[in-house]
Amino acid sequence: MNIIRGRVDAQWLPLRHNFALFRLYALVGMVNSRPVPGDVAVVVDRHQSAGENFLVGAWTTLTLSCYAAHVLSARSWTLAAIAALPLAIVLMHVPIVTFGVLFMKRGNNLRLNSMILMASLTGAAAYFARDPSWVRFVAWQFLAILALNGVAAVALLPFRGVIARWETSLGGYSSEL
Amino acid sequence: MKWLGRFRARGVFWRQYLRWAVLNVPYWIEPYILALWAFLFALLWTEGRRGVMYNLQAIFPGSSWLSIFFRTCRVFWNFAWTIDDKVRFKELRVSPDWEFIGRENVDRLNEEKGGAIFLTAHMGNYDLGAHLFAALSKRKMVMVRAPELDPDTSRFEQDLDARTSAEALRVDFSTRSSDLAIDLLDALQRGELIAVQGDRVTPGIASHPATLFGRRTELPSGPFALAMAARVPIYPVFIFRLGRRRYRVLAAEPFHVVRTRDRTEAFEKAMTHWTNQLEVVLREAWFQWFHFDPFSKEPPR
Repeated sequence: MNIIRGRVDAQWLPLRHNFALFRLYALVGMVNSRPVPGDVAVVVDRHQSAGENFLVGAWTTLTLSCYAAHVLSARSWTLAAIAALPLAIVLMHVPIVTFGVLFMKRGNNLRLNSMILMASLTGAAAYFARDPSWVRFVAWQFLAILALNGVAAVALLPFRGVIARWETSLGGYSSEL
Repeated sequence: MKWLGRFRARGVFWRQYLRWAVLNVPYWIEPYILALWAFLFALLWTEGRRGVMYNLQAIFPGSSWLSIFFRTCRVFWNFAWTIDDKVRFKELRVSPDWEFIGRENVDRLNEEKGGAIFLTAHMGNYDLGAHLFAALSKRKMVMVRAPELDPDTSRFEQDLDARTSAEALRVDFSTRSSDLAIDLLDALQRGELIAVQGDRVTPGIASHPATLFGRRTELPSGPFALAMAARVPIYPVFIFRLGRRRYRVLAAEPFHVVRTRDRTEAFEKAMTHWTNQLEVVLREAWFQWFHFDPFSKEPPR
């Protein structure tokens, strides 16, 4: 684990973000930031950004709740309104628990489960995108954001060297902390 | 039906499940899964919820039941994040970001050769804080804590500590009072640091009467007795959770428990100093006081 001490602006490091869209946003933020000294220790880890994780989590959970609401609304709209969100959070557990138990001996399944969950959501979006009802718009926005993330990943390719050098220039060092 | 005990709130199943979740739940969905579990625990763990509500009623006298209930949910939400961060650090060595307030006090400690006591409370992430201080001070540190009530949970936690704690950090348990006191005194005289929590008394440890938020309570007297015997300073240290993977360390000015003829008076003075500081901190960061039992035996007002 790498740490940067004494620089508050290190929170903008693109290496602290996971998804390409957020890395691109951080890249712009980093270019426009000024050195801000402070008594801080900033960890360089691709999952460190709170904003990114809350936003991506909200986006996926709300998308899944819309699918759940669509399915439940066939029975009752009241039921759909009450149960869609909790059901979506419970549904998120299904692939995590299934693959987590199947690959328990591997120990760390974070990357595998992340890919499986995102693939399941993409599969669900592809399915609901063909539905004639309102839910197709939800599915299409999901697919559109995924595509946008792909474009951002390509746009970031020329900046890989710059991004890696930023960490060194800010004094990043390896630490057990 | 003994096996059912592992599924109680303090049972080992939930510790194992948390460890498993840290290794399996993708980061980007973690906030919402944690929210669900924190809310379920706040609803279903009646004893813990009532304890937190009692404590919050003392901090916010006159508040309505509903506002205390929502505040209690916030305490559970913060607790879920802190134990999650602790296990992630231990299993994956991923640390949160840190901010420091009162670094000059830690620097002063580094310049002195003798031992010192870090007095803290069950708030924020005291486990991670101990790792941080062990790394910052370059000295050995002993973290004293109360063992888990459930024997299986206690074994699980001890195993996790033994497997994952930093070399400079040793975890010891407050239940073996007399032996531990001698060991800790030796450690202080060797210049080591002791981290101990001073806001909760568990069965088997020495206590001293105190007043917190206007209610009579008992707080551990061990840290004050040790400081007096070893003539070392006490550093009040608090670790606040600021947000996802963000913590603030507050290291306050050290104080001494001065040896006088009247031991009780010296204790009273030190205890009052500590409780005043504790009250200020708890009023500000009530949402991370992880004290799941009522801190006083006085009936709720």
